[in-house]
Amino acid sequence: MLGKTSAGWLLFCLSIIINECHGAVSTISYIKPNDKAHFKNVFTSGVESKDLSSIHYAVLGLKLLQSPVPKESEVCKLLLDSSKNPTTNDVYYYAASGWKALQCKGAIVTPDLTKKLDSIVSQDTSSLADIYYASQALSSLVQKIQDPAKVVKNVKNLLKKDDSLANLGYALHIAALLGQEGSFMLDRIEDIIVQADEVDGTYLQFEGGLSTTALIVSGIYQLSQGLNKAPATLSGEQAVKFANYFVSRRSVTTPKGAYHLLNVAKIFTSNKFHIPVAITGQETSVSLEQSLVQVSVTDLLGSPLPNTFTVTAESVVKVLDNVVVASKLKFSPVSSKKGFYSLNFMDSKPEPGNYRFSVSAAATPADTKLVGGASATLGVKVMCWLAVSEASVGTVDTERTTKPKLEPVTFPNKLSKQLEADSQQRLIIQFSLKDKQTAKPTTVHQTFVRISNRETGQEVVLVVETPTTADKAYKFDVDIGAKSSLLNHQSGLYTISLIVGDAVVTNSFVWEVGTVHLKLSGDAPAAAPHTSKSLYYKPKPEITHMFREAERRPPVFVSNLFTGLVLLPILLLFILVSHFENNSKLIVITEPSHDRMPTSVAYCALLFHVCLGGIFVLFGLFWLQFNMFETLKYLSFLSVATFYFGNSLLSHIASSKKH
Amino acid sequence: MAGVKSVLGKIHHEYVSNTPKKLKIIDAYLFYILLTGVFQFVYCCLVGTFPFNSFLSGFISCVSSFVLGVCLRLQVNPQNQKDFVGISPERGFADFIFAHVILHLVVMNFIG
Repeated sequence: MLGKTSAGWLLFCLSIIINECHGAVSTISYIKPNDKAHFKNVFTSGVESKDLSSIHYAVLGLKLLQSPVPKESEVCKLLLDSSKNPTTNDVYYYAASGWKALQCKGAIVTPDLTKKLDSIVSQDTSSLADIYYASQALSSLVQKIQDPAKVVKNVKNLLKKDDSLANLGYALHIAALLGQEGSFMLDRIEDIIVQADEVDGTYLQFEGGLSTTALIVSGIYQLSQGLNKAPATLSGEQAVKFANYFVSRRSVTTPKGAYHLLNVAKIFTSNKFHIPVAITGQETSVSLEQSLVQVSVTDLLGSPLPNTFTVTAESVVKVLDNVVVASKLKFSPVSSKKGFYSLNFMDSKPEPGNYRFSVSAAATPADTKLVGGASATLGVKVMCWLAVSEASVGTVDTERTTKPKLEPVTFPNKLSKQLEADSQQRLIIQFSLKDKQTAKPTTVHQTFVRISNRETGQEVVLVVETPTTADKAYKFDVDIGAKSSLLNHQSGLYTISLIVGDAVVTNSFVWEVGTVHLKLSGDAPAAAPHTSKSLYYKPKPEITHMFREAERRPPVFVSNLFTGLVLLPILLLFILVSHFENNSKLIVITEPSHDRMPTSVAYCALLFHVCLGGIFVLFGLFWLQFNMFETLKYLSFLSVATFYFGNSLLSHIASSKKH
Repeated sequence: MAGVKSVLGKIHHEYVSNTPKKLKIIDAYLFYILLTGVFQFVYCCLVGTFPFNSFLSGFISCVSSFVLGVCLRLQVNPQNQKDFVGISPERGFADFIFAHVILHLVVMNFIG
C-alpha cells in the first residue's frame, strides 16, 4: 500500500517536472510558399482526375489558394451533369459547392433538387453523412433548411445510436448551418476534445487522421463563430497543438486531405478565438559578416500579423555543454519586412558553435486570441573565420640525433623551397589555428595532412591529432619510412596539403603547403589492385560447369588394326586344330565320332554346345545392355541346362572310354 | 648350328609323334590365348591404357584362360595320371568349362 502511494507521488512529481521543463507549447512552423506550391500541384492534378470528389476538393483548394482553375467551363458542365444523375447523396454536395466556388454560369438549382435535398435532411432514415452532404449542398445553393427542428431531432437521434468521431464532426457542421437551433452541439465540444490523442506533448489529433481531425476542428470553430460563443472548453494551448498537427501533415498528397488542411489553416488565421502565432527562424547562421539572427512572426499561412510584437530571446543555450550564455535579448523589428525581427547576436561575442534560442513574441497591446507565441525553439549556428599562424614545415632524422630543420611558411602561400626527405627521416608540420574575431587559439573538428604524388596521383591522408596543450598548437610528425608502403614505395615529387574543416568554420580550406621530394626504398609493386577500379567493379566471367575433357583417342585405323590383330589368333587356332585333325585318327574328347554314339547322346552333345554358346552370348549381352540381376536370372536357367547336358555327354564319353 | 638344328628337329618330331592329340589341341588353344594377350599388351604399350578397365579385363581374361588351360593340360596329360587319381579328363574338362563361365562373368562385369 505504501509502495503504491509513493509510486503515485513519484509519478505526480515527475509530471510536474516534465510540465515545468516543457513550458508553454509553441507553434512549430507554418505553411511555407513551397508547401503552397506543392498543394497547387496536388490540386491541379486533382482537377484532371475522373473522380468527382477529387475534382471538387481540387477546385475548392485552388480557390483557397486564389489560383485559377484550369478548364473551368468543362468542370462546370461535369458538375451539372453529375447533379442530374447522382449515384450517391454526396454527389449533390460536390456538385453544388463546386458550382458555387467556380461561380459557373447558368442555374443548377431546380425545385426538384431543393425538394430532394430537403427530404434527405428531414428523413429519419438518412445517415448523418447524408444529412451533412445535403445540408452543405443546400447552403452552397443559398437555400434554407425548411424544418430545422426536425433536423435537430434527427441528428440527436442519430448521435444516440452512433457517436463516432466522424459522426460528431458531421453533426458539428450541420449544427453550424442551423443558426441558433444548432447550439445543442456546443455542450458536446468538451466531450469531443477529450477524445483527441496527444503526441509528444506537441500535437493533438483525432483517430481517423487528417480528414476527421480537420472536420471536427473546422466544425468547432464554425459553430462557435456562428453562435458567437468562444469554445470555452478548447484552450489556446490545445488549438496550438491542433495547428501543429495540421502543419506537420503538409506533405499530404490527396486533394481531399490538402483541401481540409488548407481550410483549417485558413480558419486558424481568421477566427475570432485562437490565432496561432508561428515564430520561425529565417537567418540562423551568424558570422562576422552576417551578424543578425532573424525570425519571422506570422500566422499559420505565413502572412504577417497586424499586431506589433515584442520579440525576446528568453534564453540562449550552447548546445555542446548546455550552458546558458545569454538571456532576455530583445529583437528589433526589420523596417523593410513586416513581421520580421532581428537580433545582432555577435554583439555578445559568442564562441563558435551551435546555440539553442528560446524565443517568445508578445503582442503589444496584449491580445488574448494570439496563442503559441511563447518559447519557440530556434537553432542558431555561430560561424567563425580561421587564421593560420606560426606555420612551419621541415624534416628530422628518425633517430632525432640532429635538430629539426623547419622552414616557416605563411598561409595561404606555398613554400618556395622544395623539401628533400628519404625513408630515414620524419616529416614535421607545425601550425596554430586562431579565431579571427577573438584572436584566440582554437581547435577544429577535422584536420588532415595529404601527401600526394605529383605524377601518379597516389596519395595518403593522415590525421593530425587535436592538441591537448593549453596553447593549442598543432604538431604533425610522420615517419616517412613507415608510410612508404602506402605510397607504393615510389620516389618522386609529392605535394603536401593541409586540410582543415569544421561545420562552424566559414573558411574551411585545403592549403597546399609545399612540395617534397621523397626518396623511398623498397620494391614497388607492379600495380595496386584498387587503381583499376573500373576493372574491379566489372562483372566477373560467368562460371559454367566444366566436364572432364575426354582422353585422347588413338586414330581409328590403329584401333581397328589392333582389333583385327587380337582376333587373328583365333584363326590360327582353327588352322592348328584342323591340322591336328587331319594328321591323327585319335578321338577328340569334345566331339566324339557320331557313328559310335547313340542318338540321345548326340542330341546332348549338340544341346551342350548350344547352351555353352548361349552363356557366352548372354555375357555379350551383359556387356552391352543387361544388368547383373537380369544376367544372373538367365544364367541360372542356362547353367542348369548346360550342366545337365554336359554331365550326360561327358559321363557317356567317360564310360565309353572305359569299355 | 647343325647340332642345334638337329636338336630342334628331334624335339619337334618327338612332340608331333608322341604327344596325344588332346594335348596338341590344348597347346594350340594356349598358343592362341598367348598371342591374343601379347597383342593386347603391345597395343597398351604403343597407344596407351585409356579405357584402363577394358584393357585390364581383356588382359586378365587372357592370363586366366591361359592358367586354366595349363591346369586342364596337366590334368588331361596321361603322364600325370598318378598325380590326379580319381580325376578323369572329362571331369577336368567340366571344371575347365565351369571355371570359364565364372571367369567371364567377372570379366564382362569389369569390362565397362
